[in-house]
Amino acid sequence: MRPLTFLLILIILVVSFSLIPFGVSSYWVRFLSDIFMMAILASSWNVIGGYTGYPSFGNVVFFGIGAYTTGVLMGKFSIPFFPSLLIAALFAVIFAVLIGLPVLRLKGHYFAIATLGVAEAMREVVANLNITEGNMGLTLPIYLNPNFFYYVMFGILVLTLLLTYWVTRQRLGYGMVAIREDEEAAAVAGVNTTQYKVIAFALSGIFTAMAGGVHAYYMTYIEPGPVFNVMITVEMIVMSIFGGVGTLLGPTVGAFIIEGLSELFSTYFLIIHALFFGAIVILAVIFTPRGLLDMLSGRRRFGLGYFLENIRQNRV
Amino acid sequence: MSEINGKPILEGQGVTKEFGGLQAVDNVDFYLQEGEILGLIGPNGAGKTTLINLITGTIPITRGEISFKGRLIVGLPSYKIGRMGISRTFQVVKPFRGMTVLENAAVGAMFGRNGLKRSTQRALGKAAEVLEFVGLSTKSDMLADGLNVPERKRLELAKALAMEPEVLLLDEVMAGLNPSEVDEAVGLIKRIRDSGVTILVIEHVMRAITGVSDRIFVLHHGQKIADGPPEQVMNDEQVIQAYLGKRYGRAQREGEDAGD
Repeated sequence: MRPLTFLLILIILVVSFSLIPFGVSSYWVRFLSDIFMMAILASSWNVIGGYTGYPSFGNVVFFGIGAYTTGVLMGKFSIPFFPSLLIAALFAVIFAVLIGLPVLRLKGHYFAIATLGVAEAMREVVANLNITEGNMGLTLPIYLNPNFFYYVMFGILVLTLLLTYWVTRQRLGYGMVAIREDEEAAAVAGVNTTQYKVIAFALSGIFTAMAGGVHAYYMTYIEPGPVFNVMITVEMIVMSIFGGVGTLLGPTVGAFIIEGLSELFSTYFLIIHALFFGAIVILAVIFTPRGLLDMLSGRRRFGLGYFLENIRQNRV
Repeated sequence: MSEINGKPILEGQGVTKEFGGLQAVDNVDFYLQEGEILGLIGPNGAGKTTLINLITGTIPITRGEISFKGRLIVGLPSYKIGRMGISRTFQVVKPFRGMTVLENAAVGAMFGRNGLKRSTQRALGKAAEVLEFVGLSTKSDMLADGLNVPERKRLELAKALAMEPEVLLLDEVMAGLNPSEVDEAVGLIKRIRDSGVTILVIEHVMRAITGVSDRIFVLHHGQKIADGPPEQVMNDEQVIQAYLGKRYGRAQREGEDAGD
């Protein structure tokens, strides 16, 4: 995407979304805040899973770390919200480096399982620590202002997208995509693959952790189970795949569409809602494996044509 | 071109690679003089690609020493060896599929020798120059996925050249090309050498290898069996035996009466 196009899209979005809270009910403000949060998570997952090609199944670990770091700092040490949020991001980076160095040596399914394990283990750690009050849950100072959380989430989403856009145009972005396409060829071409994978993992963690921190403050009460819930990782992945893996705006588009449909279904068709995620994944993988945005780009075939071609090629 | 002048730019001593009990490369000594084109030949499974993999650090070496411009490079990670000035192509080409042709070459220009000093803009400029050189500039904006086999081979070359190598290791860049494409590739390789790059070529196409090499080096079962000017190596008895079998070698030696 050209810088001017991106800037234009961004300005239009920023202006319109900044005005929305003045014209709608607090239900919509909350609903949009949730979408922003999922868009941050999906876009962040996209950095490691989409651009770098390392499908993390444990990215919720950063969300949980962010939530708990913010929670403990605000609840136990009375540190203000924004400093807590920055420290949460810092913790996520440190965690990403420490865990990434060993785990990023694994590839494909092995990497996915290992990250899943890391997230599950972290939930147990948090559930058994004193400072996090274990399974009792942690209470934060109460601040009831939906508009505040709306703007903070939106701000973080914009930051996430700006940073992703910038990175993809840097040496780092080229290196990440090269690693995704062929790690051995990337190394031979001079890419320090270990370093780049760890940086990508850390970038993926920063904004996920911040979203976790905002979520904690917004909820005012967090427990290990919900904030380390593997379903959150699944949602990140589904939204990214649906919107377009390895594209800048794909995960955000995916978050809007899936959250929107999900809300619609849960209001009007409660039973179908349970089937919703499964159906979306199957449809997306069969008809548009590179996501909605790729369909629009027109570079590859999609839909029934793609499906039939795939069957022919793989002799299913 | 092939006379020895000064220290070799790349040199290996007692280079050995064992896979389990198999000696894929067995105590091989080799050298590359600056500015020469060395042909590396041998039957399938002779250890040619393994040797390249050892030089570039793609797989760890079992024993032996390899030095580049007098500096030991054994044990260095691939990316460091690449940045020092040794580039390679892969026999089974490895394009970055989701990137455009230009971006593929730009990766080499960004991370290769002097690459880190280059901005992304200048790397893209360098990549465009290299694509022009290998004759791919009309395909710049295509996804690498969409290239045909000869084009992919050229792209593989472009990626390596964009790294501004001093030594270029070419692993069967001519396999699968038709005769006129082979001639083009031979011309291209000579032009690369003339621009000051030392080249090691692995090839099965004999016409190409004898046409392009200043010197030929033969591996068989992981061991060096010949090393010298093309005419000499091609008439070497051991080389003929390795390629055509023992009985053929004996038949030739004993004359036509034993040829039934």
